[in-house]
Amino acid sequence: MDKRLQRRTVVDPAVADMLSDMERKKRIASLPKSKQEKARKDAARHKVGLDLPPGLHEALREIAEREQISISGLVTYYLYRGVMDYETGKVELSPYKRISRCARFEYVLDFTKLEKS
Amino acid sequence: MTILTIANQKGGVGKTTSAVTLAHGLALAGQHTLLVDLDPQGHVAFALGMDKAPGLYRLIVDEEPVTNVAIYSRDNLDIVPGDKKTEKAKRTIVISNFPAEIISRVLKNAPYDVVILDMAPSLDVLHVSALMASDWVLIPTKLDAMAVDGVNEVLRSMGEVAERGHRIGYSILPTFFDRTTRETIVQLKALVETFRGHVWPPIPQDTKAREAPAYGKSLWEYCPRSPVMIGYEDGHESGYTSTLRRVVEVLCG
Repeated sequence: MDKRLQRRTVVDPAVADMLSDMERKKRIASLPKSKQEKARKDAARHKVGLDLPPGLHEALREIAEREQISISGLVTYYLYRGVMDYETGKVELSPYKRISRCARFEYVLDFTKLEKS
Repeated sequence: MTILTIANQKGGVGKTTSAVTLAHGLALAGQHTLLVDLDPQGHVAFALGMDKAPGLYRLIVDEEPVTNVAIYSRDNLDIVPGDKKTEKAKRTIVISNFPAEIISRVLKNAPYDVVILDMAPSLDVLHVSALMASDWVLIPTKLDAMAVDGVNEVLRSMGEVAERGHRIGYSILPTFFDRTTRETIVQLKALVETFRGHVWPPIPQDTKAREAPAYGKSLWEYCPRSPVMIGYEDGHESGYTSTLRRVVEVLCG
């Protein structure tokens, strides 16, 4: 058998998320009391993993380097702008929506047009 | 018609609560659903505020059609109730010609989108027969060593059924989830390490779930916004609402 082949064992994302959160809390509880507060504050920062198209990731990295800021800061700025634009009706998601096959979401967003532009 | 079996040979793990809640949830989602009580305790009827009755006995021993035996419970939801006569039905199954196929036979052409079988906490002929009829098995388990061992026993039975040529999909539903206890976390982790993607988000421990049967109400009627239904307010997906979503995904595509 090809040793490079690895069986995929996918954990339900909600379960994986919950487990990692519980692990984190357990880790904090095992720290000395003086360090727990800082660890809790660090943990309270929202860290999320997102699936980004490789081209977009590269573009963000280039802008962040040019502006001498972190990618995290840059993405946060863009997200603020995006949320504001959405709330004020400047952003319309409908053209990108496609029916999802997954029962958890009604739609998925198709970025083909954006990638081409 | 698809058949979902709720099974774990360990008692008190939330089989009937899961069966009743998911059956009513599917009914509310527009699926014409039949809930069959295979447990002589007859708690399906009790949980829905109805009387215990020898429904399964009539189905198997008297060979009445399912349309005669099923009783209206809620819109889109009928039940075949059980009572202590279910034990007698088991004896009939044992001496019948094809015991393993009896549940498939009595449910054949039943006019429902989904049938849910609520198993008794035992491994007997009814258990094997139910597994033979099933498309999917949901195994509720408390997060303690004995209940998790019950999961292994169900999987062993499913292995025997697979040897007869009937492969069944399954999911594991951790119940009575108490996020504050160390043992819960250890057992959930062990369960996920062993069964990976088969483990669904857990059902939080919630007193409301114990109160609802006393009023003869399903959890959708009694406490639709409580942790047992929608999870804790910690942003993590859990509770029967998330379970129902997965059941719909699995059974209805």
